Amino acid sequence: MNKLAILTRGIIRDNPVFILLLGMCPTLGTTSSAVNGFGMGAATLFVLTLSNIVISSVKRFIPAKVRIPAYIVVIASLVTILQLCMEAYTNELYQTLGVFIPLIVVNCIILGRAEAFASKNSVTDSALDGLGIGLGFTLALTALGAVREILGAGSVFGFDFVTKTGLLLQKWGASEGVVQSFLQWDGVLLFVLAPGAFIALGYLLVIFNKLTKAK
Amino acid sequence: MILALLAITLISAGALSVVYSMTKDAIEQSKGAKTVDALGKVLPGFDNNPAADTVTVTANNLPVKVYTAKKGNAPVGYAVESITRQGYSGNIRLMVGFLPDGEIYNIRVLEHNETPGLGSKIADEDNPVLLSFKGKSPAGLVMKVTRDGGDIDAITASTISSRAYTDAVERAFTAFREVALGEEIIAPQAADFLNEVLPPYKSYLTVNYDKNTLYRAKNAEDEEVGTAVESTVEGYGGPIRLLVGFLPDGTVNDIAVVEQMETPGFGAEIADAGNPLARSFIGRNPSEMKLTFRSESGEVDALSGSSITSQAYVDAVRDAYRAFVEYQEKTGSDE
Repeated sequence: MNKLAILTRGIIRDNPVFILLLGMCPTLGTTSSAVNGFGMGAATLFVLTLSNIVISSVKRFIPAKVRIPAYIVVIASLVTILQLCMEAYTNELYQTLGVFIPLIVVNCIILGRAEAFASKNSVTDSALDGLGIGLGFTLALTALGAVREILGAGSVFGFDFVTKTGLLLQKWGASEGVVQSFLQWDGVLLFVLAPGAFIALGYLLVIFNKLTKAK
Repeated sequence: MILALLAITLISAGALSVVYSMTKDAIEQSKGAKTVDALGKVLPGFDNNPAADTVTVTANNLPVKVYTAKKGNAPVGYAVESITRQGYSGNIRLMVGFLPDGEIYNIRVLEHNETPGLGSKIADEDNPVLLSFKGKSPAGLVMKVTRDGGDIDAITASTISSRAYTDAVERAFTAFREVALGEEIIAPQAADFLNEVLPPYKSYLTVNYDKNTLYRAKNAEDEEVGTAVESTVEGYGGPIRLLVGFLPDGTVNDIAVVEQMETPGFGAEIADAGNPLARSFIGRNPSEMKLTFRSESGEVDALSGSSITSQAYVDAVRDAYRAFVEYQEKTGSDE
């Protein structure tokens, strides 16, 4: 399989969230806003790529019988390193993502790719696979986060477009009733909470599968 | 195989310790930078180094740090690094900036683990809870969320985080009063609750017995009407101080909560008159009771959703009764 195919496969054909349905916990838990979803995706991308590289590099030394515990030690160490670095250098994002950073360890995607791909392929291929799946994950989480933020808070990436629209309408002299309904709209709370995450994810699943005509 | 496993764990441990020591200073600096940044945001202009002018006091049972900001030699503000243990997911640390007259200038969240998208909003600019405090003095506010009958607007779907935030600001204000206004913060006195837990009395004697304080109340004819025992146990959110009033025969007359830091809406209900725990004991002699909960075929009604608080309450009453009995035996029964 050529290198580019490995990369793009993780984004479309084998998208971890919309096709493989892996890593649902952080998908649902951290996507209350687009920025949070993106941050979580980026952190996972980092861990996934590195873990694929490391595991692929040492696959010959890991006895088959204890490969799962060995992978977990590697993944947990990588996540802890990520956590320490984030706490030191990107403190704001670290505070926002909070408990979900250490939870990357139990994200099925990472263990899944280690077992399904990195343990059987070359280091370069594994790195590309990690990158591809990580990118697919980040895209999915950012999309879900954006949808939930738009519906749940009337903003996207922090840009409160509903209030801005309301202010614009006010400037153009629209009726007070219309202006107030924009300014006072608080968002659909459902989408900030877990049930809304499931609902939004469900719709995105349908749309993604239709668009990519996955079998 | 053992060798391979050993190698993996050794290398992982090695890598972790390297990264840990590499990032240790940066993490400390981030935390320190956060403090300096917070000081700048919550206080009006100053020209001293508030971090060099600090005092640590105990406010509402937890230590807090008070920073004094000055312009020239006059204080222009006080920042209090406050904490609450009542957060939804653990501790929340705040930096609260007060003007010398007690008005809150601004508040910054230093550390929290609240749920992203919900409780985490306490850290947002101009969130409802912060706006309830900004520009106002806690002295003029009822320091509870509106749902609990107070003046503070909670964040939608994040009542617990909002309550915790309020608790931290209250603690900050207590420290402010102590340091900036020089007020002496007196802990609630058990003696203030004596007439609540004992039958009418004329005078009382305070006795320190081991770890408890006993109050022996007598009427005008110098007869013993009852003994109140103060007992302190560790509850869910901090120490709980109970005052248990016993009649001379050991029957519980009434129980008052002198001090508690339990969760509002849950454990804090032990302070309500007629709560299930108190009602389980009033009129009964603890030695004749099965001191376990109804769910374990006992005779004590727990507070729903507050098993830790309820157990602490029972432990406190049991401890008070023990002290009561031991003291009676020491001094000869008064019956």
